[in-house]
Amino acid sequence: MNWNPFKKKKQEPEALDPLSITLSDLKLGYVLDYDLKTWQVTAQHYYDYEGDRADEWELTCGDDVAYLERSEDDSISWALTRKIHLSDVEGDIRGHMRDHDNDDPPDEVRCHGIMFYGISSAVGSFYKDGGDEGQEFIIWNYLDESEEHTLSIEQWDEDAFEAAVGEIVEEYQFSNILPVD
Amino acid sequence: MSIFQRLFNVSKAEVHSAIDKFEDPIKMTEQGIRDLKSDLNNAMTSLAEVKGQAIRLRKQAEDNKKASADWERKAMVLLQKAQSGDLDAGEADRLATEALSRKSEADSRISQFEQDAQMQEDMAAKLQSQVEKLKSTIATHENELISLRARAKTAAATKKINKQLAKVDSSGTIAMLERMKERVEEDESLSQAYGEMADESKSVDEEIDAALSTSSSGTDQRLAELKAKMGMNS
Repeated sequence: MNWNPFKKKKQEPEALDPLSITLSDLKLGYVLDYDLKTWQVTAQHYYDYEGDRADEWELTCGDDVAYLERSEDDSISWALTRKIHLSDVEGDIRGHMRDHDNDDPPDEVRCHGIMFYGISSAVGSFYKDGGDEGQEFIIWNYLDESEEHTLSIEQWDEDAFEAAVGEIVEEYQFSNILPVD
Repeated sequence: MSIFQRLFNVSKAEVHSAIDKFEDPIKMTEQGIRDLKSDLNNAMTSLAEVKGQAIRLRKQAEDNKKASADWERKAMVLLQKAQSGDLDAGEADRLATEALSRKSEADSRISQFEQDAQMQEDMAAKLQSQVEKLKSTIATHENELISLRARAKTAAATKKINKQLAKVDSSGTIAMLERMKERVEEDESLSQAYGEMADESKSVDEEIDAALSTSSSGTDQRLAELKAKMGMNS
């Protein structure tokens, strides 16, 4: 007989207060408003940069797909980026990396008419859909002079590159976050 | 009315009265707010589903727009090839017609998806207004709860003080205080009486001492001056 009157009752997970949902609570399927458009979270991944975690939510609005990134250092910062082709970045990035001993892209690059300056690089692991197995990659981060626009170049394999441009955003710019079951 | 019915009604009234006593207005309000939040959560979830559906339908409409343009482009390429002699004109016509038929199918899907998306968006707008209304109601009740908590706290404190005051017995503490006051007054009267009695029972020695003590330094001075005037040594 399994009945035990002294057994502690299994605690139910605390219900989400619908009036206090924040951007950090986003999950797959959630809906939110940004820039006068309604977006749906269509994927949720995370990155690990030598112990520092960064979360990423894929937001979809029709044909538009953007990536909302949350990183925490001294404070929480947010960026909204969109993937671009590496060829959108002016200059021969691949050639530059091949020709230089350190395999780094240039310190200054121009993209979509904006000049970007390298600020950091890191080796990270990407956990697709929050899975257990990470995929290693190298990332180079750039900011423009106003420090409002971002650009990143990622190397996933010897010759597999990705790039993204975006902007620094604030939590207040997002509203009407709607949860799903 | 039968006796049983009356007995039943009496019992019912007693049970209601007992339950009323159990009702804590603060706890009941908190529970009410929790229930409203649960309703809000459900409404928000439904709204998310409706909005999500609208987003998917818009995307499907966009995809079909691209497909439609693609079929038209293909039909044009086929006709161009026939024109340049790269393809048999009859075959080109057949394939172009097929491509245009696919384009037409895509166009009809576009209109269906857009219609459905519009329907979902209209529904979302209605749900959104209900969600906002519910949010506002909850906010109002939460504010009222804060005020209610403060009022209940004040009421409890007042009740305690009034209860304490009501408990005070005139023949008890107040009477005791009055008695104490009377006793002090009695003590004062007694000490005054003793004082008067002491004044009356002064001895001769005490009178002389008193007389001597009353002779002030001024009197002594005048006596010394008189003796000096009379040529007497002091």
